[in-house]
Amino acid sequence: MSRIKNLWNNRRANVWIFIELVIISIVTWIITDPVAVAVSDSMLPTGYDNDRLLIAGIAHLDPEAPGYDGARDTLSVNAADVETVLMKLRNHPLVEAVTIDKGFGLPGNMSVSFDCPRSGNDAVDTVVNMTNVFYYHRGTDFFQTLGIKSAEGSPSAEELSDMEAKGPDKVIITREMGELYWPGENAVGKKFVYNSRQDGEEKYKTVVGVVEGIRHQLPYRSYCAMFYSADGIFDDEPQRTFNAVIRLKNPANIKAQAEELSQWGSRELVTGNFYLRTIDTYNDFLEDTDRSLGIPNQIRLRYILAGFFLVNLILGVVGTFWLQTRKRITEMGIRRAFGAARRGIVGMMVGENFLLATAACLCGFLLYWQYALRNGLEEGYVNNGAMNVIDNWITHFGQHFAIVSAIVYLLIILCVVVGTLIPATSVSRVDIVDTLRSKE
Amino acid sequence: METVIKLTDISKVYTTKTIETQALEGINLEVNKGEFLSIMGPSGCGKSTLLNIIGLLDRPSGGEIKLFGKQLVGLRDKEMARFRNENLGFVFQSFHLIPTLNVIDNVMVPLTYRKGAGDRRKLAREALEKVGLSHRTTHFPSQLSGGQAQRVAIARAIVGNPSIILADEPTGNLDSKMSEEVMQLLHGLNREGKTIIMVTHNEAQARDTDRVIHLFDGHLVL
Repeated sequence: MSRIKNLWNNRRANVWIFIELVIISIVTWIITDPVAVAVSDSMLPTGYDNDRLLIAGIAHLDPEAPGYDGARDTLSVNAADVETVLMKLRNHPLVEAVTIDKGFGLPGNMSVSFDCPRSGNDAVDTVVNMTNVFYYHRGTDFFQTLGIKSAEGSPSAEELSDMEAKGPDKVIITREMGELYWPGENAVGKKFVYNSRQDGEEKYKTVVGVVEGIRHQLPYRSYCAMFYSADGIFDDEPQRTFNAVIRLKNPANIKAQAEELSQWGSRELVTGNFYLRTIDTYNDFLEDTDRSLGIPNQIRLRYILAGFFLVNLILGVVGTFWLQTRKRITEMGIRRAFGAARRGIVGMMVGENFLLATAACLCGFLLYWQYALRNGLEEGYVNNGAMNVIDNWITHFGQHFAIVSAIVYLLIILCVVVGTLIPATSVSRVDIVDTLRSKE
Repeated sequence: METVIKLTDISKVYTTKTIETQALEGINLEVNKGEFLSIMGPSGCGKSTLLNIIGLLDRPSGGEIKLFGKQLVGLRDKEMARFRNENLGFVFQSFHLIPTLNVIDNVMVPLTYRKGAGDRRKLAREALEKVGLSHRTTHFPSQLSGGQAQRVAIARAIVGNPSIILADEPTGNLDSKMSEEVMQLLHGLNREGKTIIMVTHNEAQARDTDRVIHLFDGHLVL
C-alpha cells in the first residue's frame, strides 16, 4: 500500500513515465510480435529425422570423362550398378537405412511439387492449398529412412514404404491434411476430389495410408503433404544422377561421420560408371535450400530491425528509470536517517517502479488488444492467407496475445528493474550525510 | 545521572586522492540522560560531523561510540537503521522534508520503518498537535513557511518517541520569531525528558541549554 501511495504522491513525475511506458509497451508489442512468430516458426519440428540424415549425390560419368566404360552404359547394367551402390551403402557399419531420390524433391527442398486438392465432402468443402507432393520408390525404405512415422490407424512405415500409392487414384497423406478434410476421423479409406470442378468430371483419390506431418520448407508452417509411389528405379528413362538419403545408426558427430563416409565412398562406391560426387548432412542441404530462397536474409533483416528498435527502447527505458531513481537520492538519505535500511530503500524503489511498469503495460496491452481485435495479429508467412497452417499458438488469438504480451512485459520489467536496481543500489551505498548534501 | 552517549577518542578523516583532512581528533564526550547540550564553534570546525557521528549518519575513522551503553561501531546496516529508528530523532537546518509527501505523510516516515508502531496516522497527528500544526496535515512542504516546515521536521523527529534528538542548526534558516518558537519546542521536549544535542552558532540559544561545548579545528575546547 505504501508503494502505491508513494507512486501517487510522486504522480506529477510518474504520470509522464506512465504515458511513456504505455507507448513503449505498444511499440514493443508491434516490434516483438513478428519476431516471436518468426522464431517460433523457425523452431517448428520438421516431422522427420533430419538430424541423423546424410544426403549423397551419386553421378554417372559422361562419355567424354576419363574412365568412362561405354560397354556398361546400358539400362540393365546401370540399374544393377545403382542397386550395388545402394547395397554397399546399406552394408556400411555406420548406416542404418538408405533410400533413393531421383530428383522429385525431398522434404524441405524447394523443388518439391505443390498441389491444391479439394475435399469431396460437401459439408467440409476444404481446399488444401499448397500441399507438398512427394514420390517414393517402393521397396527402398523411404518412410523408415527419413524417419516419417505412420499415424494411428494407418499401416506401419515399413508397410507404407512397400505399398502402392500410385496416381491417379491412391495416395498417402499426412495426418494434418486428413484433419482438414475429415476432422477427428481416421482418413484411411476416405476419398477426396482431386481435380478441379472446372475440369467437368470429378475424380477421386483414396487415402491408403496416413503419416505424421512433415513441414514445408521455411518460412511456411504447413504440414500438409501427399505421397505417391513411383515405379521401379530404372523402369523409366536411364537416370544419370540421383541422391541417396542415408540414415545413420548414431546421430552424434554427424559431420565426422559424413567425412568418414565421404572418404570411404570416394573409393568404394565407384561402381561401373557411377561414383560418389558429394556427401552432405541433411541439415546443410536444408540450409542451402533456405539460402537459395533468400529466407535467412529476410529473417535476419527482420531480426536486425527489431534488434535496433528494441536496443533503443531498452536504453530509453533503462535511462529514464536510472535518472528518475538518481533524482531521489536526498529522499533516500532522509529515509535512511529515519530508519530505512539499504535493502529496504532498494526494495522500495524497485517495487514502486515495478508497479508503475506493470500498470502501464496492462494499459498498453489493453489498448493494443482493441487494435488487434480489428486488425489481427502477426500470422507469419501464410501465403496471403491461403495456406493451411498448423494449429499452434500463433493461430489462437488469446494464446498469441498472452504469449507475446508476456514476452513484452518481461522485457520491459527487466529494463525497469535494471534501470532502478543499479542506481538504487549504488545510491544506497553512499553515506547518508552525502545523500543529504546532494543537490539532486 | 545515567550516561546515554559516550564517545571515546573519536576521530574523522576525510580522504581524497590528494588531500587528507582531519575533521575530528581525540573527541571524548559524555552526555547524560535528559541533558540539553549545545555544540558551538566556527564554521568548518567539525560540529556537524560530530553530530552526524553521534546520530550514526556517518562513521568515525577511529574511536568508540556507545549509546545507552551499547557499542555501535561495526554494527551492520540493518541493525544501525533499527537503532536510529528507535532511539534517535533528527532536525536538520534545511528541514529535509520529502517534497512529494504531505505534512502527515512526512511525519509518518519514521513509523514506516517500525514494526508494531500502532496507528501511525494517529501518532503523527499527535506529534503535529504538539508542534501546533494539526491543521496543516494535508499541506505539502512547498506550501509551508520556514518555521512551519521546521516544526513539521520536529514532529517527524519526535513521532517515534526517541530518547535522543539531534538538531543541526535548527534555527539556521529561520527569522528570530520563528527561531524562538522552535527553541521553545525543543526546550519543551527537553523538559519532557528528551536528551537533546544541538549544533548552533547562536550564543543566546546556547546559553539557555544545560551545557555548551566548543569545537575548534576538530578538537574539543574546554
